[in-house]
Amino acid sequence: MYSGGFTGKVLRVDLSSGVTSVEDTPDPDKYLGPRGWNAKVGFEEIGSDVSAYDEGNKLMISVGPLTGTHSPTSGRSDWATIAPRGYPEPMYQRSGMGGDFPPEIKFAGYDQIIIEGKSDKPCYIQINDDKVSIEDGSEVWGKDVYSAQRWINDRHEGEYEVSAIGPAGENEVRFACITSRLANAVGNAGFGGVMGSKNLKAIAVRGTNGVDVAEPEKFMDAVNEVWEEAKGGISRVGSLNEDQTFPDSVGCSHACDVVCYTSLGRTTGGYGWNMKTCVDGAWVGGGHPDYQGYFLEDENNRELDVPRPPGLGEPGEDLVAKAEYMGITSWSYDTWYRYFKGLKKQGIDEIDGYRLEPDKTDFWDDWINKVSYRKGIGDDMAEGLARFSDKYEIDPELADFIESKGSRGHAWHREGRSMEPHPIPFWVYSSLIYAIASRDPTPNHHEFFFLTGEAGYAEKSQEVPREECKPPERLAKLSKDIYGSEKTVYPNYEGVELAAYYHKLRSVIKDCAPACDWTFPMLRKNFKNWDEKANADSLGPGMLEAESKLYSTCTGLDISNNEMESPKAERIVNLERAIQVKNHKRKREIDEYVINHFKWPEKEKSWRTHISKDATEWKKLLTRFYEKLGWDTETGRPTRSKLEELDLNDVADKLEEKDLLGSS
Amino acid sequence: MKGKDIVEGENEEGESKLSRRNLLKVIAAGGAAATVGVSGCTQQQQGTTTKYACPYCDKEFEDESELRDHINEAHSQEAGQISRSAALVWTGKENCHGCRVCEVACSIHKEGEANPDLSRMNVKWDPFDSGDLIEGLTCKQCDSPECYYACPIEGAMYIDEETGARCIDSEKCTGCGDCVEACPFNPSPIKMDVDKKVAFKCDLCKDKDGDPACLEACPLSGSALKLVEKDERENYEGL
Repeated sequence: MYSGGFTGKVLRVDLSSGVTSVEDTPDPDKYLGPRGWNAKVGFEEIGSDVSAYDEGNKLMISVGPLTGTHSPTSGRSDWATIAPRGYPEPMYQRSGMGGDFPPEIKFAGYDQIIIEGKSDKPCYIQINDDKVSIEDGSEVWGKDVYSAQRWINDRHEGEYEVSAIGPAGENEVRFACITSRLANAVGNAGFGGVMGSKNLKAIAVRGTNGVDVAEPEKFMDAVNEVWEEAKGGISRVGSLNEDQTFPDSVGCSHACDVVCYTSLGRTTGGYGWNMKTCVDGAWVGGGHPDYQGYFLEDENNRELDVPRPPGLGEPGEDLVAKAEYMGITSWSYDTWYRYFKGLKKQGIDEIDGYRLEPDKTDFWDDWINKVSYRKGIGDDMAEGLARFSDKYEIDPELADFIESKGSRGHAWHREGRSMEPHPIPFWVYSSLIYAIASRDPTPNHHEFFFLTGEAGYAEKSQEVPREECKPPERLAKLSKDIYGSEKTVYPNYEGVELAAYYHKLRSVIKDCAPACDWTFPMLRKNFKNWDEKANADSLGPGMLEAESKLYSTCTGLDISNNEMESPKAERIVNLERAIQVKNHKRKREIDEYVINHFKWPEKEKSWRTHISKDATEWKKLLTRFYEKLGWDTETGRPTRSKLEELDLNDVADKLEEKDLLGSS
Repeated sequence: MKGKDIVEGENEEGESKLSRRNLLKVIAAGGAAATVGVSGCTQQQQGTTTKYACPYCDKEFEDESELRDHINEAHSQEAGQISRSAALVWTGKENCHGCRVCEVACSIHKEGEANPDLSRMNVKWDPFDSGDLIEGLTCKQCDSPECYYACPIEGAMYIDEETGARCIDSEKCTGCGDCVEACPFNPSPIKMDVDKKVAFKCDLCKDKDGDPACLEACPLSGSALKLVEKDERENYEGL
């Protein structure tokens, strides 16, 4: 039994009946935390006939045991629902949000909030510790995400943390955000539309309780120890200045100060750089010099002011802010930018009378309005690129490269955002984690990219034959230590399933602690400078047990690093897979949608060509991945033996009842 | 402990600032009626006059500034025996990234739970207008500690011998709120726990080896927070 970290309470809000209730938190020893609890609701309470905008859909928001403490990067929450962006059909997806909203849920006394039903008129949920009410939202409906948050705080004269949708969410745009403060957002999966469909404008939370810590002294020691490994240095995303001082930046979330270079710099006013966020604004805004080069290969891009929005009011410089005002992820028009630019290159200048002028600021200003309010052709664009290209049948191959069935309706993490295609050996790993995902999985699977980035493959692949391309010895050794094979980090298929399996489990751990993907798991040692790294005998392993140590000392549940991975995280991976199988008829054939993407002709210019025409080797790799996961290699479904091994007998029974259980 | 019962920088509504010691003075001066509340604090009755008692002699004054002047003139040497204190200083938004690790580390160390309302220091954000940090609230451990002077209970506030920190003895504190009222800062870094009827404030973690918990936890290795030693105080504005 835990003695810290968790509040033990779940808040359920039924918008149809107006009834709110509190129930016990499902056993964290079994479900670990946010992703486990959300998946439990997803499997047990959402029927296979429920789609994103149905009254029967539910929105789950969970915070972990470390949320609200000073555990590094712990100010995070995990959200899940049947997401409208899912393609070819809405499907159960998860998303994460940091900021100051998540700890406020904890301080209000809840581990999880489940929102169900549908209000018959605009409303918002007000949570003030144990006082919960559904308030009339007619006056706040229609406001942008920031005005809505202000309005609620002004009305209640309190320091509420608010998550709100903008007009895009109200109009059920499939890529609408839920935003808190300036730019902490549940961004890419389109959860904003789910709130809109429920007539729910916002969730306002104010909490004044504390988070008990089971072993305060040990926890404090663990936190200090992990911070030393997490912050600065050159092995993390954040890095020190050359003079060993910390760069000027803003932590994006409560207890987040790894001095991550994706945090934004400061500003003196306006909204541009003021966004106290992680990647989103930095990405589009080019907050870090390293990013600016990624903005398309086309010089014309520089004519568009998207990369530099210093503030509001200046035409062409406020697009990021405007998109986020309206409540759509600013990644999304990066996606559409690439598509429209691609069409322009082919001489396509208009679609149904809609002139494509992607290098003009006014065009994007208008595009944001059209999409957010579903005006004219904006009504179709609000459906997302994949669905749009299905309808208009204009260069579906290009659209598929950017956003497709293989990415489950999300922009492909790299190609969908104007970056170069996944380089070797990332793409093999990417193809596997995408294969079994229900959304873009990269946001909680980055560390493998950072690790293999050590090898410099991207550069080498342009210069040397494949057989001559080998990872550095220290990297190969670290690969063996972590994944069990040196070959995993070679530019080939061998052993890649080991990395995909490992990081699948680690993604659950970090989302359940919670901890940020930019920093965890810490596979590598955190070298303080380049000389130290150059002279080191090994690159790692780093502090792999960081999450389990923090989790255990905070909760009092004594869970080792190995136990965290399996059975606990593995249980959640299987539970989430069971939702996909039960509700969305997920099977191997659907997993293999990714093949099309990784056969994209652009990649066939060199040995970076990846999946062969018949995909024979890749399919063998997928089979090995299924074997590692304990799933039926023919269907990709979980098996009874695996589910029972993970204490998920009821899940096995349910799948068997529907004839969806995998064969052992 | 419920943070909602913490009143930052304020006394309980309706509770008098008249202290037990001053009550005796009042009674002695005018024989006016007063009642002692459950908490040990007193309820001033209409028509009474509070006298401010000098801690070094038997003189009384009508207001606090008169008392202060008197101490400065007649007891400067004795008053000077209150040693200066080290102090935690928030060095400004140029150095702080706003992660609020410090305040949570504080409450875990002091109360065993993560709760900013129970922290002895806080970092405040302005979420919209500037989107930036506003200020860090730390106790300045004033050279002339008004809170200490205002405390009516013998020993409820004391000066830590080693650091000079102005400390509250929760066993003796009655929660009258005089210290909060006397604090020249608004909001005051001294908070009230209404449930427990005690005030609490930063004592520079005198119960802990090494640096104060907030400073130790700061991921920026203390560049956002600094522990200013006694003899360095004059180098820092506001101390």
